[in-house]
Amino acid sequence: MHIPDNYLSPSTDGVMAAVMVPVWAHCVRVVRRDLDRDHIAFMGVAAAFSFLLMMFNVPLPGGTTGHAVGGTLIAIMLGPEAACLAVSVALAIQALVFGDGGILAFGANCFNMAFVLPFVGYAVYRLIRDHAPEAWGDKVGAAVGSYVGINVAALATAVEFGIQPALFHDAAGNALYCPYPLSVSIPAMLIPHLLVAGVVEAVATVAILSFVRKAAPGLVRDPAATGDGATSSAAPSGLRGKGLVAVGLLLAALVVATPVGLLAQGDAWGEWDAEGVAEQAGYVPAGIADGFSFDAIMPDYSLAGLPEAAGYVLSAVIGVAVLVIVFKLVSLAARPASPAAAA
Amino acid sequence: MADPSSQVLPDWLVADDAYVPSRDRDGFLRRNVLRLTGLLTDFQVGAASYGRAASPVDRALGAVPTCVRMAGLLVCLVCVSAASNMAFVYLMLALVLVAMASRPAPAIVRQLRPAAIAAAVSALLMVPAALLGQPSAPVRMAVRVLTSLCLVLGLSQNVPWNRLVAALRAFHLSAEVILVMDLALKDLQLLGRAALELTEAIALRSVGVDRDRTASAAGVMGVCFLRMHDHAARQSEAMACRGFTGVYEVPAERVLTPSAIVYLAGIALLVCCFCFLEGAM
Repeated sequence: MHIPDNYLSPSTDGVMAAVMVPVWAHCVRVVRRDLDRDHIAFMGVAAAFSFLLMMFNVPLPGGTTGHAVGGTLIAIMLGPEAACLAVSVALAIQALVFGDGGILAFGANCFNMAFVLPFVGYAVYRLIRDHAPEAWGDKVGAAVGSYVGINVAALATAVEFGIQPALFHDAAGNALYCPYPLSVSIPAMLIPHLLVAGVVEAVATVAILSFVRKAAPGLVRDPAATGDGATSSAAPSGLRGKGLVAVGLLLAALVVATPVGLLAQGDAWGEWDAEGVAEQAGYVPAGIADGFSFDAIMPDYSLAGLPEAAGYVLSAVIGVAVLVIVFKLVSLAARPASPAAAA
Repeated sequence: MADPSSQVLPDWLVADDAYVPSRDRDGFLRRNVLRLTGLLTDFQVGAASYGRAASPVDRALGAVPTCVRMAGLLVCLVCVSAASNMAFVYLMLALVLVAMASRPAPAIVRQLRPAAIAAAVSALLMVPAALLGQPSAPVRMAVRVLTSLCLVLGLSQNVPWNRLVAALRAFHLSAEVILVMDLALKDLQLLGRAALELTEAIALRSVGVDRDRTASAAGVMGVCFLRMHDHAARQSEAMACRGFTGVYEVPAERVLTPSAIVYLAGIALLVCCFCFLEGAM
């Protein structure tokens, strides 16, 4: 779902970035109002979960690969606004350090995975949770919400891809950017996500959410507190001690397991390089052939000289550590945790 | 009781005060002098988060004898500097980042700020290399500097100064050298504080524009010199009173503890990684 550079026209990239600016501004305002220092620091751990989930590629029908995002998971734990910011920062690190997702397409990727996914997923979760029996409403809400969220995000991505050939083509009718129309991009993106990636997202969301709720209940905010300016309802021991250690161990286990994501062969749909596009479409669109290029420090989560799996784990460690550090530093600007939560 | 209407204000109090203060311009002072003197106060050596307040990683490393840690640090620094393959540098960077992420936010700031500034400066210095056809040179140099400095600061900021001095003695460094380092590092911070107080006082008292900045700076440096001179005299007297003859007596300490063996095994593993990545294995 990471749109590379040159698959969308610069004007599309610009519009998507412009759309995201007020969204980010709103999210920053709400997060500063609703979350205390400890919860903002925990956003780094939540962003790390998202970062790692995006490294677990699963094989999809059609020979491509896909991955979960974890946006709905963060939205349930900390609110959709926090999820938007956490996933945005994770996407920024992926684009800048690992070359996963375009620099110019950063706004579009954030729109799909950091805005549409968590907000839609969270809305569905709240709808089910508020109207279903308490016994199963929460887990089913999380599963259905995350499933719907990632599929709506995939649909948004497919639409962005699919409108390119209609809007931007040369005199001969060849597309300048993504060569696939809506009739191809929508089924190509949606069917694999409906069949596989959505299920993976739902399973990962419910599993991690259940673990975090059991190990460190204080880390998960009460959804009723979100959006009304209420302070966190953190349990006293939630953000420190054994609970946080357990969550850290889960993160470490996921880091060690990331090479599993290498078992899925092939590229995700719409993430091919110029040669891949030529193989798929029969020609290289001019915008992709002569477009913007950026040399990431660790392209494709790999390092020259290191075995592929070792490079993947090292990338995961660096990504997770950077996210935790960034949000810990950001938390210094937030209001301190309440004495009850800090006890 | 006097009639209020009969009380008349004196002329000098009634007269309009036409005082218009000139516009205060102390940007140079605040942006440059205060910033530079503030940097001196960052020369903080010792345990900012030592003991129970330390992070899990620092607690684990705290169990390792400091002289062993210093030897391990030296090996890591040599490997990071000598590595021609950036994979080893990124491996060390990952370890440094994990240790940093486990620390509380203020400790991260203390460690990251000087390291990031140094990395940025080194990247700037390497810009000509990028223009001459080595586009990745600034990033490679910045990552090396960042990693090395974080390694050093990770030790210096999380180990008490007396432990560092004891470790230096374990390496049979002469007492004179240790004394000079000991006093110099401590006095640098004191000097920074004194300079900061003086420049802050000047910034608060100054009105208008000071055309003769050289004289002001010379004044600050002169007062700092006099203060440090007094401080050195007092310190010398205090050392004499306590019977300090310039010899650091350090009780013998067991070096090869179980934690030291684990630590050395980790260092050996890193050296193996270095040799493997450099093609020596």
